[in-house]
Amino acid sequence: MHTKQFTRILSHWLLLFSVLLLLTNCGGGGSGNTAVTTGTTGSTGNDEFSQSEYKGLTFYYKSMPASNYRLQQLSDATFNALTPDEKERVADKLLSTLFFGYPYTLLKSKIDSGTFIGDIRTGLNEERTDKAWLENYIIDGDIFRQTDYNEQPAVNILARFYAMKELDSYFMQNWVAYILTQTIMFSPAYELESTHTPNIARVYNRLVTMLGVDSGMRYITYVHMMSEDNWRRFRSPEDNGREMLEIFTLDGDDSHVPIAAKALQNWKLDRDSDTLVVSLNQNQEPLQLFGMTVYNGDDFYRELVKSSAFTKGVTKRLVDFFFPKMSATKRNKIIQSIVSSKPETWQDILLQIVFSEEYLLHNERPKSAEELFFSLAKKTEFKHRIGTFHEFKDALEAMHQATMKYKLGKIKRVPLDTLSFANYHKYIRERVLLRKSNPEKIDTYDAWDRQGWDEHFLDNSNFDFDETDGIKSLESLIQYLFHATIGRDADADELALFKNHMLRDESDTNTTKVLDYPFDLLYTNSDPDKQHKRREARKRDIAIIVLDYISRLAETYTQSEVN
Amino acid sequence: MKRRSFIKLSLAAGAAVLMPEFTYAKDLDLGQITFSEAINQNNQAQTIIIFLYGGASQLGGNLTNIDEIKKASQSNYDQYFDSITQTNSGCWKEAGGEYMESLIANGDMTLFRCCYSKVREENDNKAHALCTAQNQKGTFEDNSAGILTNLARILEAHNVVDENALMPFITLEGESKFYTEDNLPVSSFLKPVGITEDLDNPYSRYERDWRYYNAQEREIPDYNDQTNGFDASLHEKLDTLAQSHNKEGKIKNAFARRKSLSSFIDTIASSPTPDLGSDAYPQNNRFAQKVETAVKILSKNPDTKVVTIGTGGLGGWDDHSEARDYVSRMESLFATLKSAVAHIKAEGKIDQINIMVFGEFGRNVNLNSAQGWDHGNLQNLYVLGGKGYFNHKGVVGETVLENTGEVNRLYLKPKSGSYWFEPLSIAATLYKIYGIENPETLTDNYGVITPLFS
Repeated sequence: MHTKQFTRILSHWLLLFSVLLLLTNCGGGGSGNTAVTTGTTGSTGNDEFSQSEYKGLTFYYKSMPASNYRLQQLSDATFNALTPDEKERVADKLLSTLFFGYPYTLLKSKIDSGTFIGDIRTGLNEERTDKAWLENYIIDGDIFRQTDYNEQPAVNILARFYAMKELDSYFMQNWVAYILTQTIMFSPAYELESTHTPNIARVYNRLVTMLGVDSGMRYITYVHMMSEDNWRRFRSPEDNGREMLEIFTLDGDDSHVPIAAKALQNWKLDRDSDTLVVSLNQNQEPLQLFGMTVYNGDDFYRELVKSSAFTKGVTKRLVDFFFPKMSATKRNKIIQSIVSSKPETWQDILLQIVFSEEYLLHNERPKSAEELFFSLAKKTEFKHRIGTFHEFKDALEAMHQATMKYKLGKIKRVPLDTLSFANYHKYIRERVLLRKSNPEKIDTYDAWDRQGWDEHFLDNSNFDFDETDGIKSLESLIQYLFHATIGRDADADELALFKNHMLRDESDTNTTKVLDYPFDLLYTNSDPDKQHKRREARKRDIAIIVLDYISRLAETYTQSEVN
Repeated sequence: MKRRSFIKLSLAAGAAVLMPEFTYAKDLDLGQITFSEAINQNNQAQTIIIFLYGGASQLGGNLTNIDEIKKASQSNYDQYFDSITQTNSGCWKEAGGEYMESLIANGDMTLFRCCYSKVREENDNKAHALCTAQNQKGTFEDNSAGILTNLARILEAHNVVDENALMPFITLEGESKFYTEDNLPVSSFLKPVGITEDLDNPYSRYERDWRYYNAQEREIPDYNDQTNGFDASLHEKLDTLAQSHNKEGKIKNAFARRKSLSSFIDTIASSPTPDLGSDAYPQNNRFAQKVETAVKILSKNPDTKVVTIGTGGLGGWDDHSEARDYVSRMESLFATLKSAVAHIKAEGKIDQINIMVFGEFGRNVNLNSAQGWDHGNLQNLYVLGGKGYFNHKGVVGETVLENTGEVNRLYLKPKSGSYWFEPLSIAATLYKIYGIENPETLTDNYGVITPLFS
């Protein structure tokens, strides 16, 4: 048996074992059947693990192939038929949605391959990340500050996205987990007094682990709902029952709440360390919910996730998250398409959305701070300092985009009231775009000026640097900065503004334009080292003004409609 | 009609996700509004809305049924709470009751005990999102605009506010449904601006970086000196060009208002609070800071009509468990409100500025197995100040306990013959004090809270 296969089977068994323990703790199933059986299910594997089920709740599913999706997907052929600028913007939209990006020259080569969309999709199924290295790296206190305050697990999660170099299966599992924990469905809700910092890691890591072994979305949700983490968020039988109905099945009917509460009557969050206790005085009366008879909490949660309303409910939650500005009618069509494809994994819904024509070509929404920050970081080979991700987490709070904080998740993913947006703009402008990393501080993680975009971002190979033509070089650098960040040319007005500022008359009597001293990227000096440093500094100064302008453009903060 | 439209809203917003025919909008029709400029001018109303997100229990302001409640409750009130003492008016002494008594005695507050939704009762709705949206929009219609968007448009249409008005709507809670827009355009100056309680200024921008000055500017002595210098003109050019490229929308609006907000905050931050003596605001309390900032803004800037505040800093009010915290939270809320009234009086604005305190709903009064209260359908409304147009009546409304016999189904309801109103009447009342004479056209025919005007 291959090591990978063995690991996978072992992981399945460990998860199964965990659930058995969980169920035992919950007082078992209402009708007293054996907890786990194996049998024929809708899952795709032939081994007994992928066929495991519990009272009709199937544990594992392979994500469906994109050919089974019912929401029209963007093909390479359609992508390749777009204009060059459109291709850049669509590529950036896809990558930034996934918290990723490529330096511009690399992006161009990937786009020019003619198989960009297919390659990204395929890459998400491949395992290329050295997880052992990654997981040790992000908790190295000399590189990423580790503290016992400021919700360190959330900071580590942000640092992980920055540190992951490959857009692969591990990245995907983390991204899915991250998206889910931003929503009302799985938010760890660290703002509450009854939740604790470890709940962040417990909820998030469980999602990543379960996604890593092909757990279905019903099973993942069932395990989450049964967890202490969930009960620390919704803390009484009536509250928990009401919210699970409303969140996952969109059932807001108050008359169903007492029924759910009765099924959960023996569940309680004990005030001693906020511990979930399931006592033995469980309900004995048959109750009707979801067209089924249920008795206890286990029945309630299990039948809830098995119901068809669950699929519609979670699909709507995610469609609303990605299409917040679209009309209800169009959103409902998208939901119908996805539901009709019979999704059984979170990836079935999320990838179907993200790779769809509707999303990539026709949808417009504000870009989240994570989408913008992580994509800019990858594009500019951004260098962090030791406190960068603590500061980023704090900034997200100031933007009212805090990660995993809110009891009801991010009701609005990107609030655009003046205050929230001012904090968003300020962070991106001052902490990302206007800062160049000092190459001499590359090994000094606590240096303030280690943070910023890397010198390579302005490498002469990225634009048409012409030793004999300063103005042409300047124009090319400006155009490069526009493409690298927002995927378009600077237009005539924009070029004119920058050139007016950065050029001067050659002399009082000669109005021929030449580069003004502070922006003279052709500066010469007999000392090559001095010349190099001075030229790099002047490119930096040009870039700072151009990037400052870009920070003032709404399109920087927008996942734009393309056509 | 009401029941039908309510069901449509419920279905559209939640259950009937695949039924697009149920979603529809009701846009504001300015032609239907009767507006009195005289009332508006006379009242000079300014409002602080404090929304108790999560749905606050009504018990802080109403212990009149506590003996029955204790008998019927699942968990024992006396064992769980340290002390439950009734004040003369039947308020909970330890939960802000003494402050309430003082405010009532001074004629500064009316406590309404029967803000009750019969419509929701009939339609089995006690969901947070839906009830919040309804109360902040003042209607059961889906896709309608928020109360303050409607108010802003009406005031603009009647020239009460125009583009020269400085920050007519301010939020100290971020975005909310009060400001939801429908299908009609809203002038950008009417959109709410956000401010923090400590008047932190994220709108500011450092504009003295030498790289931004052109050759002529650099020749001026001390051009980028922090004290004697001047801001580089390039910033203005960058802003102007960027805004010419920015599409209409919230981001463009936020950029457009950045500079004026920055100076507005600096002005408010430099204005001191009068010495309030024994009524000084509670210290080290973010919520108190918010209210203090709100009063300062309204006192110093008559252009601001409404400030909305959530109760961040106090915690949420969704007390499903461990309700003991509710007691101290209410105490803190009312200590702050008493200070706010003193502050408003010290500024000579008690006739103009009012404060309304409410949430999406109230709570079940059964102390459940987690020592908390689940959702209920009757809440208190606290109205303070605005004495130039409100007649404060002390305590209004009486309740009875409805015990369904089911576990955890123990509710307060209006006593037969007692005055009660649907939560939408809060919106109607708000519209009314700004000069809208037929507010019920905006609130599904629910009229104003009449005792305030009699």
